[in-house]
Amino acid sequence: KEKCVILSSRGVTSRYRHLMLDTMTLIPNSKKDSKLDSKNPKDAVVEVADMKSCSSAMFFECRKRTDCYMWLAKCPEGPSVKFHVENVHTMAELKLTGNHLKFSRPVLHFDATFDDAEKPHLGHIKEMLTHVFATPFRHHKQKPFIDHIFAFYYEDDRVWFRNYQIVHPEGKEVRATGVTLSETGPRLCLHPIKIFGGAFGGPTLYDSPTYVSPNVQRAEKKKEDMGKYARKVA
Amino acid sequence: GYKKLENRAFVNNKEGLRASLDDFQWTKKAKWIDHMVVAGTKTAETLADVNDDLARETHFYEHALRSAEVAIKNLKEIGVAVKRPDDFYAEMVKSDEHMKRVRAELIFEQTSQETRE
Repeated sequence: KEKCVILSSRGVTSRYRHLMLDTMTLIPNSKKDSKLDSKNPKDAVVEVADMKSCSSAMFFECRKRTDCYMWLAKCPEGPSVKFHVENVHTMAELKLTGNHLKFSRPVLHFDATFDDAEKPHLGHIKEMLTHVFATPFRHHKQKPFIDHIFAFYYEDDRVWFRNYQIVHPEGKEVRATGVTLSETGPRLCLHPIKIFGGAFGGPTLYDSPTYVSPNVQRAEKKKEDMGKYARKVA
Repeated sequence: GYKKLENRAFVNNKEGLRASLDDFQWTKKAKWIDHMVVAGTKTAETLADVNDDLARETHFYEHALRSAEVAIKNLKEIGVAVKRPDDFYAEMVKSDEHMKRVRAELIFEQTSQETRE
């Protein structure tokens, strides 16, 4: 049976901490663990997962209090995927009006692109996401109804995540239209960076050509801005 | 250290990925109810611009809705309850307190829209 430990590195900012808490309320087969403060967090996460007898781990690694990376790993043998987390909206935001039972089992939607035989890294990511986000059948915490769907899309070399409540409309007229969806949140966008053969390391199986590290992005931006004032006065 | 983007080789070990996938996957052998994954259908319409929020969200919504319908059909076939009865009370992911604020926000937006008109 799948069990997933969720934890973050020290120095996690509030937004990402909220995101982490949201994922915990969405995954009944998850275990929380305290923030890691270690020189070598990678080995430590595997150790924690082993101690909690978890088969997978979700690790939020925050750098410079701005950049957040999410690791998904099968423990202890691997493989693992590293994502850059972008465009986060947590469940606490008021724009998303959906709501559903806590710990009801989700339906998972994946774009057809994930099954592309020519892009095995997507199949790999799909399997990993399924392991983490699907609730095992007859889990002791599960609720007996199925009222929400986790949707994963692949656009712009990124994995987009949405969570919708499945709404059954009331009344005669509305019944004809069938179900509708209402977004519950959170929203996030995961840019795959690398896939490793082991847990948090090992041979690199995939390396995204479109990923540019936020450090480089910032440096490029600075370079662009260089001499901005001089141009203005000239 | 950071290597220049132009002269970097990007690994895409397809064989390795397939082997690794075979190694750790269980969804292929499992029954559908164990994971409830619905693969989206390939459609002709593709998203022209991901940065167009409205177009993107509608696209996402439609795909998720199609999958939700497939899932409901599957669940009904194997006789799993989908709809929550009105008298079933249990903890929700968002608290009543939070939903009250969501509703207040919704009403506030509607009224402010009306006053603007």
